[in-house]
Amino acid sequence: MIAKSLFKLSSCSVALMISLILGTNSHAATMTFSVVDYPPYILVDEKNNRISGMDVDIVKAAFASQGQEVSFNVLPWKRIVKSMELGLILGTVSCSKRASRDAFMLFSEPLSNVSRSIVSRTSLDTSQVQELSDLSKFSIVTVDGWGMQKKLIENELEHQSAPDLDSAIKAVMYRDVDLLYMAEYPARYSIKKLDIEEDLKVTSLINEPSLPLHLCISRDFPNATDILRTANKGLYTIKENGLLDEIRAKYLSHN
Amino acid sequence: MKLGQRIAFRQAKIILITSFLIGGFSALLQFYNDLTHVRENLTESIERSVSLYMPSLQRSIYNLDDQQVQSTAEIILADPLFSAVEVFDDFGDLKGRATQANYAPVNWLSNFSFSLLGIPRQLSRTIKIPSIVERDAKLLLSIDKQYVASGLTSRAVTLAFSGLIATLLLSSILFVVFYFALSKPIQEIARWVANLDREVRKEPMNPPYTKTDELGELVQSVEQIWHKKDRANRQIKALAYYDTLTDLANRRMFIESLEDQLNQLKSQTSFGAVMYLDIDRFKTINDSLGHQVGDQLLMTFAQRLKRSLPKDAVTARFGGDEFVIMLPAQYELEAQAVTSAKELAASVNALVSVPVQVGRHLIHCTTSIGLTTFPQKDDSSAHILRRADTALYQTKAEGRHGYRFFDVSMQRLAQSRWQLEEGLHKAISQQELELWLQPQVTVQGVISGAEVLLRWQHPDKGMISPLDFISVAEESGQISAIEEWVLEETLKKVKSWQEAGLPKTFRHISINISPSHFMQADFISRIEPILKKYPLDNIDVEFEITENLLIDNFAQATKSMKVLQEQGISFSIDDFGTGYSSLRYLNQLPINVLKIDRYFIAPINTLEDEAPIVDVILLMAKKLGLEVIAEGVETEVQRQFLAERGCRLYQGYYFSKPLHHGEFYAMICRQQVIVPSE
Repeated sequence: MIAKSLFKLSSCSVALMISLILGTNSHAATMTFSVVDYPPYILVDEKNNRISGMDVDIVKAAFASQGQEVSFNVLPWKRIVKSMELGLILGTVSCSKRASRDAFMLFSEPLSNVSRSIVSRTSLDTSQVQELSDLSKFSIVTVDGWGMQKKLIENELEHQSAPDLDSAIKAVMYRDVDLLYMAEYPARYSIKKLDIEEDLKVTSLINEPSLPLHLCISRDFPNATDILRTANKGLYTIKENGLLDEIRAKYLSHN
Repeated sequence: MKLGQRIAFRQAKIILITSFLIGGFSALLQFYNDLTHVRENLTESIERSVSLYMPSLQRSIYNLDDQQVQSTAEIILADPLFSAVEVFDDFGDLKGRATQANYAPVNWLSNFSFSLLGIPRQLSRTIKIPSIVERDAKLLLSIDKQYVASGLTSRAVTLAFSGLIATLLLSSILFVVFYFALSKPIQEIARWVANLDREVRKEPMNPPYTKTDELGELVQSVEQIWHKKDRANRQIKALAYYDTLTDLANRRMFIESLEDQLNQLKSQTSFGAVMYLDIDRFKTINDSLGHQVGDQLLMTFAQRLKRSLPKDAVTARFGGDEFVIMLPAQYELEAQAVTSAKELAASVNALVSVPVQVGRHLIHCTTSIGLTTFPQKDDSSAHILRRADTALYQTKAEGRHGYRFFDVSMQRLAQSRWQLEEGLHKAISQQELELWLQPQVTVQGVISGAEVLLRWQHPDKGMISPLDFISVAEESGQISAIEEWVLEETLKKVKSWQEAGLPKTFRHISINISPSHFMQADFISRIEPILKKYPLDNIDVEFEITENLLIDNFAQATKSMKVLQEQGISFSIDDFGTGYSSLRYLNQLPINVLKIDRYFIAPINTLEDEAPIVDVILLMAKKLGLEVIAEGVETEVQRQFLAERGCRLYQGYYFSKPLHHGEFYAMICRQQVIVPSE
C-alpha cells in the first residue's frame, strides 16, 4: 500500500516536474500578440509606442501569473486574421468568436464583453432603435471587417464600411450617414477622443446580446494548444485572485 | 535622245537614289532615336506610375484592404499605357485586378514595333510590406502594346512617308532645275558646236550661252578653238592650194582649175591655152648667188606675172622655177586661143627679161615657154600639161628664151626620149651596154692608148649611138650609174688584158666623165673603190672632162681633180677650144692632156691651110707641158699637118674607127702599129 502510494507520489512529482520543465521551456520566450486599436479593450499609443487597454492588461496579467511574458504589436485587423489563418502569428486579443474563425483560431475564456450600440447625430431620433432589425430604416456604416459588419451582413442590412472607427464616426458626423453600428465602449472612446460628444450620441441596442471577446490563438501556430491552456489557466488565476476585476474596473470606470 | 540618256535624268536618278538612301538612313536613325526616346519615356512613365501608387498599394496591401487595392489597380489602369494590372499581397494572394475592357488584338506592325522597344510585355514590381511574412507583395503591370507601338508606328510611317514625298519632290524639282540649268543649255551648246562643224561660216553663230560660269567658259573655249581651227583650215587650204613662196596657186589648185575647165567643156565648145615656162639657167643663179637670191627672183617674177596677166588667167608655180599659166576656155576658135597664148607668151618673155635687182645683184634672166591649146581629143589635165612640158623642152633644146607651140613631132620626140630613158634603166642589168674603144696612136702609128666609147645594143632598135642616149642619161640622172659601169668594166677588161698579155706600148686608157656625174658630191667616194678594185700597172687611167665643166665649176672641179690625181688619175680636156674658157685654169688645174676638138681638124684639107687655133693650142700645150691629142683625124693630110706642127698623138677614123673591145684586143695583140690606108 505504502509502496503504491509512494510510486504514485513519485510519478506525480516527476510528471509535475516534467510538465513544469516543459511548461517552463515552452513559455520561456516572450510571446507576441498582434492587435488593433480597439479602445478601451486595446489602446494603441503610437506616439509613445505603447499598447495597453483592458483586454491587453488582462492577457498580460494572465500570462504573467503563469510566468510567461507577452508582448503586443499592431497590425491591421485583416492582416491579423489572415496571418492567423496561415499560422504566421500567435494570435490577437479582443476578438469575437464565430464559426468561420473556428477553423483557424483557438479561443480563450472570455476576456471581456462588448455590447452593441449605434452612434448617431444627437439630433437623430433613435428612440425606436432597440435591435438590429430596427436599423434597416437608416443608412448604416460600420468598420470594414469587424464583427459588427458580419452581423449586418448576416441580417442582410445594407451598409457602408469604413476602414477604421474614426472614419466611420466621421461618416456619421459629416457624410450624411445616419448610424454607425459599433461596439459601445470603442464608440464612446472614439467620440470622446474626437471631442464630438455634443454632436453624436451612443445608443445601446438593448435587445442585442453582448458579445464576449476572447484571446484568439492561431491554431497552426506552434504550441498553440499549450499556449491556450496557459492563457486559460492564467485567466482563472487572475480571476480567482481578483486581478481581473481590478483591471476591468480600472478601464471601465474611466470609460 | 532618250529620256534615260539625259544628264538631268541621270542626275535626278542619282539624287533620288542617294536621297532614298540618305533619307532611309536618316529615317532609321530617327526611328532608332524615337525608339530610344519612347523606351526611356515609357520606362520613366511606368516608374512614375508605380512610384505614384506604391504608397497607396503598400498601405492597402498592409491593411489587406481589397477594395482599396482594387481601386488603386483601376486607377493605375486608367493610364492608357497599361492593359492590365494585378496586385498580389505578401501572402501571394491576388488582391486586385483590373483589365482593359476593350482590348483589341494587336496587329503585326504594332507587335513588331513593340518588340523593337525591348520592353517586356509584363512588368513586375515589388511592393515592400512590413510584415512578418518574409515575402513582398507584387504589382504586375501588362503594357498595352497597341498604345505604345501605335505612336511609334504612326511616327515611323509618317516619317517614312514624308521622307518619301520629300525625296520624290526634291528629285523632281532637281530634275527640272538640272534640265533647265544644265541639260538644255548643254544640248543647245552641242547643237551649236555641231552646226559650227557642219556649215561653212565666216563667223560662228551667236553663242547659245553667255553666262559667266563653267558652261560659259566651255562655250568661250569652243569659240576660241573654232576660230583657231578656222584659221588653221584656211592656212591648210592655203598650204594645200597655194605656193608659200610666191602666193601663186600650186600644182593641185591649178590641176583642179584645169579639170573644172575640162568638165565645163563637155557641154560647150570653146578653147583655152596652157603655158609651161621656166627660168633659163635658174639653177646656175641659185647655186652661184644663193637660194635667198633665187627665192627673191622667183617672188619678183611671180609678182610681175600676177600684175600683168589677165584676171581670169590661173597662174601657178609648180615648184623650182617652173610656172604654169592657164588661159580659160573662152575662145570660140582654137586659132584665137593660139593667138592670145602667143601674145601672152611674148609678154611673159618680155617681163622676165627685165633685169631684177636683188641686193647688190642685178640679175638678167630669160624664160623658155611651152604652149598648148585645149581641149584636144580625149584630153585630160595630165595630157595638157605633158604637151606644154614637151613644148617647153623643145624650146630649151632649140636654145632657150622663146616659146614653142606643141606639135605632134614633139610628141614623137618626147615619146622617143621617154623610151630611151625607160630602156636605159634596164640596159645595164640586161647587158645591153657594150664597151667600144677607139685607138689613140702616136706619130709612128703605135697604139699607145684608147678612148672608151659606149654603145647600146637595144634589143628592138639595134645599136644606139651615145649621141642619142647620153643626153637622155644625163637628164634622167642615170649617167652616174652608166659611167661607173663603164669605168669598172673598162678597168676590169684592161686588167684581164694585162693578165692575158698586153703590148707594153699600150700606156693609157681614156674614159669620158660627164659634168653632171663629176660634180656629184659623192663622185670621188664612188669612184675610189672601183679604182682600188682594179689597179692597173703602167697604164694611165685618164678621165676626159669637158671644158665647160671647168668653166662652170672651177673650184669644186679643181678640188676633185687634185684628190683623184693623188690616186693616179690623169685628166684630159675633151673638145678643147669649143668652150668659153679662161686660160687661168690651165695652169692651176691638174690637167695632163688637151684634146683638140674635131671641129678644128675637119677644115684641114691641105698642108697649106691655116689653122691658127690648132697652132695656138699646140704652142700653149707645149709651153705648159701638156700632151695634145687631135680628134677626128680622117686624112693623111691632116695627120701630116698636125705632125709638122708637133702634135704627137692622134685619134680618128684615119687610123681606126671605134672597135668592140673584143675586136680591139684582138687587133692590139695582132699589131701594135696601125698603118692607115686612105
